[in-house]
Amino acid sequence: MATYILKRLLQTVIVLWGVSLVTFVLMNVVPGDPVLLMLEKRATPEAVERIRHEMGLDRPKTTQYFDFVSKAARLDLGRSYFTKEPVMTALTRRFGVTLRLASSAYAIALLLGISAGVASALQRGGAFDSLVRGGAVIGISAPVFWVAIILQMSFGLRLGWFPISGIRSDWSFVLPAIALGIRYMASISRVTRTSMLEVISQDYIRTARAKGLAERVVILKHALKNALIPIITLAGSELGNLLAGSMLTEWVFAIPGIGKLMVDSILMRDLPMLQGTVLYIAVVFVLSNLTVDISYAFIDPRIRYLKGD
Amino acid sequence: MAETGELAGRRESALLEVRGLRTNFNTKHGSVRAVDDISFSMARGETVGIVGESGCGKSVTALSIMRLISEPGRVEGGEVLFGGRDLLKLSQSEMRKIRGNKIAMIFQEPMTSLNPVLTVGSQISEVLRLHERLNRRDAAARAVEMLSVVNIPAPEKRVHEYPHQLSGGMRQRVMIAMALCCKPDVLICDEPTTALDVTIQAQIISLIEDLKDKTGAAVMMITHDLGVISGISDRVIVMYSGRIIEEGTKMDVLTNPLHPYTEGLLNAIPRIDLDCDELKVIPGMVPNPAFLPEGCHFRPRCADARGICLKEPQPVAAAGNTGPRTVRCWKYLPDWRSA
Ligand SMILES: Nc1ncnc2c1ncn2[C@@H]1O[C@H](COP(=O)(O)OP(=O)(O)OP(=O)(O)O)[C@@H](O)[C@H]1O
Ligand SMILES: [Mg+2]
Repeated sequence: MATYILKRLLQTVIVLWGVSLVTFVLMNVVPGDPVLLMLEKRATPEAVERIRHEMGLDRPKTTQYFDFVSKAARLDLGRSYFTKEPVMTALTRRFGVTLRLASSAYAIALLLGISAGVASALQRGGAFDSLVRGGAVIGISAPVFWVAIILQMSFGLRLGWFPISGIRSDWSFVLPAIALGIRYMASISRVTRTSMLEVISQDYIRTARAKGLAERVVILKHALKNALIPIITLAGSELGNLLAGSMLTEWVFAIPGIGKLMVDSILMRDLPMLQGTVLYIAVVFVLSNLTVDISYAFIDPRIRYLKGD
Repeated sequence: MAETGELAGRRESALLEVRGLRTNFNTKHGSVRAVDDISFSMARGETVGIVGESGCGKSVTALSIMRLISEPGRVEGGEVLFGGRDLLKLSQSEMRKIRGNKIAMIFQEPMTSLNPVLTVGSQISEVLRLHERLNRRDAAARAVEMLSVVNIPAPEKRVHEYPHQLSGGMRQRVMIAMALCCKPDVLICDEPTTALDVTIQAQIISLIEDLKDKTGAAVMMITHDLGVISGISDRVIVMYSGRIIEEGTKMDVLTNPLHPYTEGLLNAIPRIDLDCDELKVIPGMVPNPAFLPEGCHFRPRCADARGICLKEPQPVAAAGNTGPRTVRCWKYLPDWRSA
């Protein structure tokens, strides 16, 4: 087990290094000279040259890259061109908001998705099953902004139950969390249903029944624990998606999270900030995959021993 | 008068009695009868072997007794009398108190019958906690004890292991430990050795035999292997295509088979003592329950078949050397000669 985790950690470091390289290259090929963007149009060529030198932009690319990596490793991602705020500070502040949104969406999606999936598997072919399956198709194919706008119009404007923008209170997170979480809820309910149907036809479920266990124990202990294995893989990779993919939702609901920060930096060509958000997204993906793999090994003993010592 | 007395005696000592059991499956060919009018009884401490080719309804019979038949199957009729009650009429919760407690079952597939994500110890102690109301610690201790009863080395270490860490033979031992931990009155073994190596098979059979003697459980040994039957059973029931076609003591059935099918089965066993080159395999196959032949189900494969076999034979009592026996074949009915 320990060797497995160690191996995975090492892989993660290598991937993160690759991520830093790709980010650096991307930032260097985007059109537009950062210095010209920062300075006003009438700056003299000498001034431009001086700033370029101060920023180290006249050094060889490799030097610049190592400088970038060593700073990034110390969590120094530079400052915003415009607000002059350190990128790391802005990211941390915004991350709190995104995390709150993503974890609410995640909780809703997991809770409702798994219960709906289990219930529909147990009543296979019944009315509830059809309802869940139909709902899942809609949930998966509906575009986020469309769902967001429908929610805003119905629960926000017409019924007035929840705020439709900003983050004044906890209630402000309800509609965005549903909008963000709905397709994950749909895919989780589908995977749960399929996985559960497969598991309940297994021999060990018959054994559990032959022991005289109550149906509730058979389902919740013997079946669900096995059915969870594919769900965890999906759920884990989706936490990454939720944290990194909240751009549209944050934008529609005017939630000042990282997604909105990224959209704003693109619009304003704030390169250090954009670079920070891109790095953030990559790191979130890599780390959430790492978490999935490790928790996967915890729940499935076969992997624990296979990949272990 | 003497006979009624004997019958009454047998009935009284019957621990489990199955009468007219019928189980159907809904298939694309309509409702198909997999078990058709099965009746037999088991006495306390007795071993009854049930033999028959694959698909003849052995597992379905066992699962019907346990009431573990699920969609698309359904027990259509009959009675399963146990402890003075008809199991088929019990509520689900009453039935759960019997399963795993009074009547336990071991399955054909040791590789897949244990839950892969739970330790073997927890799978055994679960039964004890449920039926014997033991607390966690006592149940865990008893689980270790049970593993040593079924001859698993280093049981205190093995209880913490998962099924995939054990060999097929070991897993079947765990299944046996699980089935026997509440000292059931009846142990149903559905081909417990079919999936195992020959050497392991013998060990498992002698373990079951040994534990049966210790606990006094009655054993229903389902198998398609007459070798297993000769090693263990008191009585043998031969099934063909959902029906019992012959029943008698092991001695009688194995040495003097009455039904042509039983005869065929015995001829198909390789024998070292008889120096013959080829096995006499019964021609043809077990009929698909969806397309059963008219009359006797064995008729199309039977060398002795006559016109009368197009009508359904009823079971008749026949003379046994070592005990009562019945056979379901026109050859033993008075009409045979005139047919
Ligand atoms: N789930 C099912 N759906 C439809 N038919 C079934 C089902 N289970 C069993 N049957 C029918 O019941 C018949 C008897 O099956 P059963 O499993 O009892 O055979 P068996 O004697 O135990 O054979 P084996 O030696 O292969 O275990 C089969 O031929 C099949 O037609
Ligand atoms: Mg079977």
